[in-house]
Amino acid sequence: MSASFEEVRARLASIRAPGSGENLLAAGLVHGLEVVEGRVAVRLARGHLPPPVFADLVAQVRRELGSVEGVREVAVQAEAEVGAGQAPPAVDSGAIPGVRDVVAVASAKGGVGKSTVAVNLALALAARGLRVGLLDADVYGPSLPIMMGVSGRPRAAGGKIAPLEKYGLQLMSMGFFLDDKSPVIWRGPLVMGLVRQFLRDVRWCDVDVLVIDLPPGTGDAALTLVQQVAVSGGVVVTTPQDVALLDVERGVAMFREVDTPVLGVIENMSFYECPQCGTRDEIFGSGGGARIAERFGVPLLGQIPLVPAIGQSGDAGRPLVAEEPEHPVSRAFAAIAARVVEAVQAARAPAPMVHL
Amino acid sequence: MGVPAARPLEIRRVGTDSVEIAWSDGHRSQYPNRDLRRACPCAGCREQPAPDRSAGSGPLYPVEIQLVGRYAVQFRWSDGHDTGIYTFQALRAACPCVSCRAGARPGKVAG
Repeated sequence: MSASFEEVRARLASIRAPGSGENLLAAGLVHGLEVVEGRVAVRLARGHLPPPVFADLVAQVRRELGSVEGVREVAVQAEAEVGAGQAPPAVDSGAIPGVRDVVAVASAKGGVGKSTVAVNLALALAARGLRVGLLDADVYGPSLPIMMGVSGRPRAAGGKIAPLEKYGLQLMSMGFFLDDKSPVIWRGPLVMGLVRQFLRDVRWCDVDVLVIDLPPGTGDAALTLVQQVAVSGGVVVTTPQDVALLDVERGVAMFREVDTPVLGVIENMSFYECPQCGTRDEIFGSGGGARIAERFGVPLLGQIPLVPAIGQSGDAGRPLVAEEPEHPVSRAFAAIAARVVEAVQAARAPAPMVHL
Repeated sequence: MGVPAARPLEIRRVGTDSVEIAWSDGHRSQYPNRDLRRACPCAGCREQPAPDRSAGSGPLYPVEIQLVGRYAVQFRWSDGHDTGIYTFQALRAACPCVSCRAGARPGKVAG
């Protein structure tokens, strides 16, 4: 018989936290516990324990749990206290502090409505009751401030940048830091530094899903991002034209290159529905998204109709999904959000445990 | 795209001699530190193989192990070098155990 979660948990509760009268659980030092068929994985917070004391604690936990009947293997992962101003942790999982899952929205070229999709997808996810963050990582042409109708400068809090909030989303964009409308010209290394800072130094608060609006294309900035972050899954936005589909190949290839699961393709501007007579006109051809989905073995997450309202609402800073939840476009996004949540769960592979 | 690649479940420093990886396909690989260090895939080492510091007498081991996204791992070695990004795929393929070596080069006598 394998040990049960409860048995292991009870054993943890019998270990006293060094320097306090409480047990490990009560002291909040246990940040994660998994018990699968006799394999136990524990994440322990270092707290403010000096390294030798912590090392002893790790050894003790290993010993104690190892002696629980039915436990075959014990892995202990050390976790640094976030923002405690200590040396960087020796083990870095690529996870963004405060964020559970990361969904990266990509397109291999501009103009397919990637940012519009990212904004409305984030809102549709939030409408499902998730806590959602939206990071506009398009350092060259940040569009989030206009689309969400937010301005103002995020405040620094405890050495980190606090995201702005609107429509229940936590928002961060390079656009919040630019004073005027002059084009943003960054040289490569600067872009990397910036992207890295965005990933490490934003104080996301308990975010279930962070939607990242990637820079357009499959260049340095986009690649750096998906390389450095443990992205749960990528979404590729396309239009139905054949040319656009060729570009999608590159988007899919970029994610595959770094072993990031592709959750699926979202086809934008799929068809025009005449507001007067209701006929559908497939302006850019039909079924392209479905073809690419089939070709690459990734699902078509949904099709967004081309309606003037979606662009207008974006320009006005009142995104459609938030303002008109019953609009056909909003319904399309709701369905897509449901599939994204499902796909993220299916794609969730645990990060390897690292022991130094 | 074929069989899903093996993912590491666990990466562990074994004393000061080697690094062990437990894979999702059930295999366990043990890589001697000196071989890993010598095979450093970073541009600097590929361009101009470093003077073989591994010949030095002191122990060589990772002082820091960092995951890179979901696809690779980066070591900071005790000799200070830290720019090599080892992809999981390459590591799995480079497993030095006898059966993997035999499978990788059919016809060759293993060991």
